[in-house]
Amino acid sequence: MSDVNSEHWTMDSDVLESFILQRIDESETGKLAAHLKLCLDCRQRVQTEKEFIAGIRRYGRLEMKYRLQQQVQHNQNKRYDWTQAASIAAAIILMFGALFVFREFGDFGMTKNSIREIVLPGDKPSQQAFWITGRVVTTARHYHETRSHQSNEFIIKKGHAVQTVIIHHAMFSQLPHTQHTDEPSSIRAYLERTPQGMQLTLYTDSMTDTLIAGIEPVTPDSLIVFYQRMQIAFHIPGGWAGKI
Amino acid sequence: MQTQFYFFNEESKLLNALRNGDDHALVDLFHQNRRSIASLIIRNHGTEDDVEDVLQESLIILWERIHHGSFEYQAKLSTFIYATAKNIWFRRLSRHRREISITDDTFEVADKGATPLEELEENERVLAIQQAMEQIGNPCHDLLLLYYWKEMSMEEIARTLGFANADTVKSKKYQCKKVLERLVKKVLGEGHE
Repeated sequence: MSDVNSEHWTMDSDVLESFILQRIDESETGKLAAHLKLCLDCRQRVQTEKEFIAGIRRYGRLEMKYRLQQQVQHNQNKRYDWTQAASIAAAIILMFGALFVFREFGDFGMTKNSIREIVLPGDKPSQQAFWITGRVVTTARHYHETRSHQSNEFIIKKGHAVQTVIIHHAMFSQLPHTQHTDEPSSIRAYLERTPQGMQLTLYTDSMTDTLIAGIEPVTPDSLIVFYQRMQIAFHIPGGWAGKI
Repeated sequence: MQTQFYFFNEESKLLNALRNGDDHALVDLFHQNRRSIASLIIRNHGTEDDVEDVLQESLIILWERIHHGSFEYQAKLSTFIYATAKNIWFRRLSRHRREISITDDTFEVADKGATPLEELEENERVLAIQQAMEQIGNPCHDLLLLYYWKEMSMEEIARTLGFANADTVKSKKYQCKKVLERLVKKVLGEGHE
């Protein structure tokens, strides 16, 4: 920093730069600034150098801004990708869950043999009557009209098999205490094979006029009963088409 | 008391990261402050694009103040960012002479406003220098940025860019300035090189 006190100090590029970048002591800065008031050329040189530095800084700022934009965008994309991946994973889990439920209770392929055994041990009063537990598979707001039925007697057909199913309703309070179960989403029922057909008594708390809206065979040994807004899957020991 | 410790730890971590040139800290600050800046700008006639733009500029000013040693850590970083964004946005509004009624909370203003160099931003020659910088190659590009924008010392630049020593950097910087001046003349249509 030579010659800072000389008259035209702006001729020294180091001093000029230090002055603009405020790298000079305050006392010296005062002296230099005092000279500028008297020297038009010097003021012009200071202005030119200021513009030079301002231009480089503006460029640096824009470059950094661009980089920041890219990083923010990348970061948002990563967040978005993660959310998207989580959604896809959730969808896959739901899909497999639904597939599992469908295979357990809704396989229409007639080959499914692994329906969970619902008959409780020691619950068989005779070969023709069983306590069974139905699983609520889904709740549906509406049934297809063809499944609707005003009476409680249904004739179901699948291939050459035909069966009459009579559905009864009984209040849950009437269910024998020994038949109570803690299993969630389940409905206890009593299945009896009679010469008139198969009788299925559902024990639930609710009672409506349209007690049973429909019934549908699923596999040779399972049925779905459409009841109120529920679809209840039952495994029928010996198969639903079995005669006494 | 625990909150206070948390506050100082988090803030000093971010400050250290910014001092060490970790750009991820800026991205974190962007996300942390986006909501408050959006509220300020949208309430005052701005758009979502303005929010992003002003917040980015505020963060860069914070970065510059930290690197140039002029950042006074008197308030939370978010207070500084808010005040800076407010200044930038209201300066823009007044530049565009919009009829505005400013809606703002009472916030402590930590930003001292634009420096004399920042005030030159819209100057024609400044814009020409910016364009010339886009054309200048390396090592001049990096050297000029490190010296004039990041305010690194000659020794630091020598280490960063692999020059023999500070004197080499100094003489190279002189040459680079000349190259840039020639490019500026070209941009301004003053020269025929």
